[in-house]
Amino acid sequence: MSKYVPKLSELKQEFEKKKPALLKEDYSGKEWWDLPVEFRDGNWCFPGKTEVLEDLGFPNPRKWAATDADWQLPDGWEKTIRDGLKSRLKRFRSFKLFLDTCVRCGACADKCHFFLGTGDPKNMPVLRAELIRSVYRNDFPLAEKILKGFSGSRKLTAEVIKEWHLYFNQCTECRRCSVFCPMGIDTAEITMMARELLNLIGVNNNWILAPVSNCNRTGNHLGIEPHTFVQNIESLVEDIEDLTGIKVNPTFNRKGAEILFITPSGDVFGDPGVYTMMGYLLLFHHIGLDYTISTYASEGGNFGMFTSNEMMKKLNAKMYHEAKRLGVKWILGGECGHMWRVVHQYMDTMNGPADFLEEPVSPITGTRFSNAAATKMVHIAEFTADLIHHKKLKLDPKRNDHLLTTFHDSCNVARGMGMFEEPRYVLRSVCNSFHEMAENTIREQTFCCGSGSGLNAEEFMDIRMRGGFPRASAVRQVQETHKVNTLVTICAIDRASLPTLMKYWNPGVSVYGLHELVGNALVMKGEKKRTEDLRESPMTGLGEGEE
Amino acid sequence: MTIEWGRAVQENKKNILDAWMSRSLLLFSGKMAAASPVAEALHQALGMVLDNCEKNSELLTDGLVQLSRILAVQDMPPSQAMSLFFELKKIIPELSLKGSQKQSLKQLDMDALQSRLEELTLQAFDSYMMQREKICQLKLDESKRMLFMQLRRAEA
Ligand code: SF4
Ligand code: SF4
Repeated sequence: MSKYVPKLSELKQEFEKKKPALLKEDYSGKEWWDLPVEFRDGNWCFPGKTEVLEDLGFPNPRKWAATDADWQLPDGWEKTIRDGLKSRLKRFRSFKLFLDTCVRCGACADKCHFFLGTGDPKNMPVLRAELIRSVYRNDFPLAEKILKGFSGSRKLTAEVIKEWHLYFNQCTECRRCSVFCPMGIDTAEITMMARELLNLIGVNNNWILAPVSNCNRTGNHLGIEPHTFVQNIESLVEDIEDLTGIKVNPTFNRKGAEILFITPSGDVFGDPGVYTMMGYLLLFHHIGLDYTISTYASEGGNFGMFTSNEMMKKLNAKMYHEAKRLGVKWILGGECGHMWRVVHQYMDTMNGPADFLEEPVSPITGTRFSNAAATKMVHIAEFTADLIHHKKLKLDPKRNDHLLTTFHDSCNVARGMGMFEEPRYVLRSVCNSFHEMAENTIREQTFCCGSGSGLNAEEFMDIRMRGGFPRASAVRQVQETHKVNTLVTICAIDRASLPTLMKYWNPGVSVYGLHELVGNALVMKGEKKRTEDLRESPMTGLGEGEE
Repeated sequence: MTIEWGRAVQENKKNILDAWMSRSLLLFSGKMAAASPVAEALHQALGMVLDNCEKNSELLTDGLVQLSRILAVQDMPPSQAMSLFFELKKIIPELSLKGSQKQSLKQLDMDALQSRLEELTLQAFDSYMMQREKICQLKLDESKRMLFMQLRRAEA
């Protein structure tokens, strides 16, 4: 064994010395796992509906609620979980490594927004992982032998399943903790595994599974059928014409287009996503892009990622299928968070190689996006930043003078693909007032909105408000010091959930997509005098946000 | 009259606030670490309420809003959240006795304190309910935003 590997006794000592105060705290004389698991309104998501599970062919469809004493787990559920755990430990070396290598230094303890926002010790990433690790230790003798005395192990019981359900649904898979872990442990991946295991015995979340089922059937989260999808966008085209006098011409399912554009469907049906969509449409018209939108690959988001690897792969496959069918050269992707984690980290190995596509080259600037050589898919912020850099856009940032902005890095784009500067470059080019939030709350240290990974269910509002508290506090700081009234983001879940978070903690701050501001600032050839932004708010003198 | 208990509060504010804070943390049955930012925000809000508890003012309202905003989304029923005001009834006289003035609160002051705390509790309850109603409104608004295009078509 390498001389650099610390001895168990050294690790033990180090743990005792460095254990953060929070871990040492006395919880009324109880072990952490003795703290009761309590479900009450506001802290659990409704389980998957029977018909949704049946549509997906998922196990144990039934009517139940987390507040029930008996969760009607299927016969032999313990074996299902054990076998599931065993097979995943074999298949995913990262998972095994993450379970084995934690030295409990506590560096991650106070880095999770759920811990910071709830104060609940079991929301410390180290303890969250321990929920599974303690069972693993009990069930896998070798690990137990090595680790005995180092810390506890426990039996798999129905109570443990309840605890997993509670706490692995208070992790948004944001990976903030992993930034601080000296061992590189990614608790998000442990959560992903835990949720997979829970799904095997029918312990699930309708807010995740209903969109999965809808995507499986019609291609997008809300289950919008192709004709409605087209109607929605056409209606936005009319809005653009009313506001700017310009008629943009998106095409659908057009074979032979150069580029396939895929964005989260929230941009096609939800407020404020639709304004971001209007921004894209104006941009593409401005530069005369040869693109098409698919009514089959009508969803960039992928809630399969919060369900199982297999489901993620299946839902992702439509991107390449459609690119192949339409014969495009490459794919341009809209503003989304987890879509980019799937695309950037998994798509190529899951559903690639997409050798029927070309390495993306901007038809306007000639820039070769060699970073996307494997996936053949370019992020819109990068695409637009390149256009601005090459002075291909006519922009009037004054048109956003009513918006005093700050920028929220979406976890998946920031930590999942390392994109920090491009959206900021675009934002600075399209508005005159931009202030960063505190350094330890942005870029790779960004705080989650509290509603990611399929947890933005209404019934989960109390926990969402608590989990989003650190992000909201950072926004409040710039609201107070710089009168910020606009939170700009490049993620569809953020656009859906941050307006709620802001209205609760920071009234007066509204949420915008980056390309909505681009759309406001673009000076279109032949446009009529612009007095209102894409939300039909006066372009100057607004001076404040909602409320 | 009120000024007497009010003076006792002002003179022993730090001790009273600390005691109030640790009693409040007990409401979370071990699930709120004292060093967490929420606990800090709670401390700040309790301090604001205590600073301005003698008479109604905008600052008091702000303090109650901040406090109830935190409490309204915790894992506890409203009755438990509001019970933290009853703690003050015990803490203030207790700590005032130990204060520099070595004075005890007269019965009249105790009555005044009692009735002021009742007023405060009811105001805090109103504030708490406003936050809960806000949560309901936010849920509704969120669904409407999600169905924005559908609703727009239906309304057209
Ligand atoms: S997960 Fe990493 S940071 Fe957290 S306690 Fe374990 S080794 Fe330390
Ligand atoms: S991935 Fe994010 S939510 Fe999950 S434990 Fe880590 S910091 Fe917390």
